[in-house]
Amino acid sequence: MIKKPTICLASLVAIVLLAACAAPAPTPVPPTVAPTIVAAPPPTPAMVSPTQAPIVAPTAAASRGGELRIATTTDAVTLHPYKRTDSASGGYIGRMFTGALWRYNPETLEPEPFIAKAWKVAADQKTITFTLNELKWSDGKPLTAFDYQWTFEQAMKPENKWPYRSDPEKNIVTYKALDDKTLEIAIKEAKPLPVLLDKVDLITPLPRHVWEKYDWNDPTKNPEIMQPTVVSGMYLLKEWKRDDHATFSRNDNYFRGSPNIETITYRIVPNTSVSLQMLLSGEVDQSAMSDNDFDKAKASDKLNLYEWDPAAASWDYIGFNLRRAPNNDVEFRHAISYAIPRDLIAQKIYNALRKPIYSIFPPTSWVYNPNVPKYEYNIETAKATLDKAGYKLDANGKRLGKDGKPLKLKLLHETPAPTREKTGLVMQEELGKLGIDVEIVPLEWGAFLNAVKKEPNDWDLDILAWSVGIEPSGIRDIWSEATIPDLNSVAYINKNLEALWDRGEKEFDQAKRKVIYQEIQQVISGDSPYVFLTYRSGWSFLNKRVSSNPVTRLGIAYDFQRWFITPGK
Amino acid sequence: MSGTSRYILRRLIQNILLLFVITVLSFAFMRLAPGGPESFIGADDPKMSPDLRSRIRAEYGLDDPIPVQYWNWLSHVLQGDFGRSFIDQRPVLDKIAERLPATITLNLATIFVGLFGIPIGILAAVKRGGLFDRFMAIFNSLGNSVPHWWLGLIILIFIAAPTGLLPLGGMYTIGKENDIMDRLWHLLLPATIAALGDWITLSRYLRSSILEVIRLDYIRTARAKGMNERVVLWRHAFRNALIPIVPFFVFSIAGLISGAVIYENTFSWPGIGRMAVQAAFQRDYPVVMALTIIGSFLTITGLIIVDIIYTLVDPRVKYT
Repeated sequence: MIKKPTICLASLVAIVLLAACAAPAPTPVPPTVAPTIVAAPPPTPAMVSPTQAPIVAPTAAASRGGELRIATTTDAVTLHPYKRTDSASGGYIGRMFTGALWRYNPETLEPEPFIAKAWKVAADQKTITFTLNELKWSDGKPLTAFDYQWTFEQAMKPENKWPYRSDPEKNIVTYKALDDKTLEIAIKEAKPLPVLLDKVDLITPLPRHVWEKYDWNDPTKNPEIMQPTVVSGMYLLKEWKRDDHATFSRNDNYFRGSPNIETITYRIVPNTSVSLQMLLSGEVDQSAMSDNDFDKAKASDKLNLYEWDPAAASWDYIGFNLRRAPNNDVEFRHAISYAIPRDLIAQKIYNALRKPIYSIFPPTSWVYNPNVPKYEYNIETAKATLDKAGYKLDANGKRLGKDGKPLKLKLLHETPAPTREKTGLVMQEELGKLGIDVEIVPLEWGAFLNAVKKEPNDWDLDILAWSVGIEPSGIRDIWSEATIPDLNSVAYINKNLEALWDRGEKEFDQAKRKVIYQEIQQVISGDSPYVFLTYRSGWSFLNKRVSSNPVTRLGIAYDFQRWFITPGK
Repeated sequence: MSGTSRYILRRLIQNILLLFVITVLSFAFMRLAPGGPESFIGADDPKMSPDLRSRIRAEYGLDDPIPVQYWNWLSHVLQGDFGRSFIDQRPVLDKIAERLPATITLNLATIFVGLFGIPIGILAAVKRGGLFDRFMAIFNSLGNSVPHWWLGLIILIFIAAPTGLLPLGGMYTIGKENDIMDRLWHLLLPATIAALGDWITLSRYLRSSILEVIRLDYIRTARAKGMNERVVLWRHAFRNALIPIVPFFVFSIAGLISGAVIYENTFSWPGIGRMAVQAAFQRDYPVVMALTIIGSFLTITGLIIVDIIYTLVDPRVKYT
């Protein structure tokens, strides 16, 4: 999904907490996953932190009770799992509802059963049957495969306007409960297991026995939409005062055991300077934070720092509007790529909390290709590339386009977004060295999306970001002609590339899939529709009284029920 | 019908027309701003359905011509129906009502703190050129040159956070919702900071207004009659000096809803200002329009009340 910096900030906590969950992970870095790790996370105090000792033997020292206090910039909008589109709502909903049939093991990053206790793929590779665990709603009633089926049927009704409906509509053929414990799902085309799992795990069941008597859409006729009373997840909503706070209390019927921490309180603090103070003074345990506040938090003796090299990365890029010259010339794009100092951007703009990236997958991905062309920063190479491609300098030192007119590029970015604003200025300066003028146009988010995606597409460069999951096929649509101008806002068309993506989704041999995705990276980096900039490192601060799980590539948020608070600390 | 009543009636009719023009303009501005409530959907998440956008536009009638949309909206509003929020489908009035207590609490506290400007202004005028007057002159210049929300932030970071003497934001300590002292403690800094502008303006206005009045002949006469200085000040000078500051209060009542957002952000106050800004960013037209109407209505009513109050405090004012 496109990442606004503001949302990143706001939802840092939510993202971290939703990331996943797992069995005890004694080693922080999984040995088997990414064979091409270029940069291991630096050792941090957190990794040797004494707080981690008790977690290795959780039953021995974990104390029950206490309150986890979180400061976040943005409040949820709705608690309806099939209406929400924002990450703040997703964070609250994730506390209350669970439905994931499987998950990535935080240590091995391999898929493993979660709510389902096992799965079985039929010989046709299209049908998968899940056997569910013994599950209960928070009111004690059994949670069955029929709850899944009922929820699926409601969500798929067109009049219920589920924002994520199109994908299952394309892929799912059957979705039915065979009995209380058995759920059978079939998709249209045979897919390798990781893709199959990705396509079928889409329903967070709602309690049919409660919801059935209410309207699905209208919050005035369905009190459960804004105030769910029966849940499947770790926490129940106790109180929600909009834009002020939300309090959750634990659900003793959670299928993996009642969580240690009794209460979670979110406080909505729109100003991150204020929430940082709350974190430093111990008034909250966790907070949204800008990269520039990292050092202050690190210096605090009240906080533990957790850092990890994330298995799934969020990266930002400069997009070329390929609809027009000179952007439609690949040589020109390569020249610009040489002129972007990624290291400087990572160090100075992101306070070294990001690392340069050269491909659509980060070095931590299992399909990462270390041999893609990198276009490392070199102004002289950039100039030489332009000269060679026929973009000559005029007498005033201005670079001329093929039409003989001086080049002037229009750069759009969102505002207010300090990191994007600074990146824009770096671009302006560096391209100035090449004799190219850059006109920066900062726009409010809605206006920005509109300008980038709608006719007449009057722009040359934009700054945006994507967040990429562990399964590489998930970002296929960004590179497809069919998604112009939405996901593919730069209008990048390469039919050979689309064929490669298709092959990647159909290849059953994991090793061969890896080769395909490496080739995809090679093609995209060669075509350079984007200049890849930096990807976000994983980091989180927690008050020392909170004990989380050992750091893995999924962070610390997995198996939240095992977090605990040491009283009096 | 007296001249004043006729005047007020005329003003009422004018203002209803004015309100109408405001709604037309703000409706048009809102719709003409790039992007709509649907533009955030499907454009940025590979898994979101792009066709949802057209369905949302259709459902909210956003494909109709703007005058048709305006008429639909107006006819509902005239029946007291402000519609539903595009973002969470809740009735707009419910959403606003939910925020009113927080906003009104802060506004009333701000006005109350602002009243302290009155004794300061009087004292400064009476002891003109004295130590207090000069101190306040410096204080006011400083206070006017610093953005107040920023000052609030600095106080939060450098005083409230390290000492714990003041809360770092919010309306109350969670769990102590009914504790009056706790609420007052949370109100102290936001109200003081928000009232700082009122304070300064009010005291300066009052000071110069009193100084002006004090120079007038009737005060000299009163003093010459040997009247007690206190009576001269309070009964003669002060009452006349108050006239210029009457509109000030009325406007602060009407204007605070719009002015509150920056303080609400700094002090994590869950008021109407934050909701308005969020709604504008999300293109939640019904919420924006409802807040615009309510805000304009309050301002316009405020103007009429100012006119009426003028006739009460100053019998010389007559409307014809």
